Amino acid sequence: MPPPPQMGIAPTGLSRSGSNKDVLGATVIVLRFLQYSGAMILLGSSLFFLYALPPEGHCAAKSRAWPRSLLACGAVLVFSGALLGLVAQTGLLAGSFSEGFTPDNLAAAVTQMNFGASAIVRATAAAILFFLLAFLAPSRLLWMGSAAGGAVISASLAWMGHGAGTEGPAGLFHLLGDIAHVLAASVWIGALVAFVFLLLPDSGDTQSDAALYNALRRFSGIGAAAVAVIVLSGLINSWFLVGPDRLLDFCTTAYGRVLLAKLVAFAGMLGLAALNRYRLTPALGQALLPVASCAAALLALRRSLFLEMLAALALLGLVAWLGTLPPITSGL
Amino acid sequence: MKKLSAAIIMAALCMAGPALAHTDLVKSIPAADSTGPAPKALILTFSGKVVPAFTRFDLAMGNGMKIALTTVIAADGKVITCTPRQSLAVGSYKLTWHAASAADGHRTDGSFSFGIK
Repeated sequence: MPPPPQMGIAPTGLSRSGSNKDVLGATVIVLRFLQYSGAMILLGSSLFFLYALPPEGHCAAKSRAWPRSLLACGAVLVFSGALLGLVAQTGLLAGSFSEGFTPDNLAAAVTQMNFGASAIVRATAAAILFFLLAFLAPSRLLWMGSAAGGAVISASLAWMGHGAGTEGPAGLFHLLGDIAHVLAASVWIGALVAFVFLLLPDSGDTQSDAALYNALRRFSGIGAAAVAVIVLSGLINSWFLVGPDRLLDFCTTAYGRVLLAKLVAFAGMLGLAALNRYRLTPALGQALLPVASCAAALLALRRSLFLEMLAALALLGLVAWLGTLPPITSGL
Repeated sequence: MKKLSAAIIMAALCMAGPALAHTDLVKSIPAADSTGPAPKALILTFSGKVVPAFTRFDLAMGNGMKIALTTVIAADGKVITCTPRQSLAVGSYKLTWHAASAADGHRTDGSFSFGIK
């Protein structure tokens, strides 16, 4: 029986300063955050335009200027984050930022590593979406295309971190759990971004306020479903990354502490979402009655949704950091 | 059918256990902190597939003198054979490794010592 094929490893050692590594590590985290943010917008906000806003009229997404610009910004975030992130992560592995630019190292990252291949997928999808958004007239078909591209981009994020890191028969469950987690998060956070844009201008017109109220009501069921998927898939991911017998290591590892902070941010988002759904949205409904004024109800909603958005940004930053840390189950 | 699906899922989860394929050194010949006769090659087994372009090994004697190595990685990407270009004399040695995981893109580092008598 012939011996298995073998590949040589360069015999040279690495020279790397600690500060260089720290700067590259921080750069990778920031670029991961940009990609998460862009992916949430492309999938979640596009879907929001389809299910939450009226298809026609001056309240429709296609009749406003900001929806297309928002999605184009999402595509730019993903495109630039994916390519710069590829170079930064390659540099981190090779020992310096300049090493991240060498063709051999980039080729190895793209052809032999999950994060490299998925970065190319994201950058390509984002580039296509950007041109579609730039040259096509706003329409429901455009939002559908953007949502489809956003789904591909969001799902590919599972290959950027630990999602594809489990081998064996259970690896597929971990991967699917991670994909479901990020897709559901995109639906929630992308909608949140759209709500912030809807609430930014004080329209003063009852039709816009009614459209906002209807959007909140339509989102409530979808948001609850997204939360259910996030919790279930989060438990699956935790099985692999924390482990049922390592729960006590939560506070003694960097991964555990960042995950705890993420759970706190998630709990904050949940609390604010419940407040919006059960108190502030009904209050807006009451305020839309002819004898009442919407100003106070809108102000309360604006404050709550901005706070929820801040919690979501903090959560995404923590997720970007989390993916770069060795999970608890690695025992490192 | 639902029970069967649930059983398959649970079986798959249990088979994997909580052990993630986050690449780390799981076995070495010679073993860490062992002392024995000089091996012809050092064999290192990692928990996950490593990427040759970003994986390095350095062997040094107790006095700091570096020993050149010829390294090859097996087809599975997990087993690396480091052959010293000179026979190892009696003394203590330290092997330092840097590995990059193909699965999660993480870099892991480590070292272990062994002795030759």
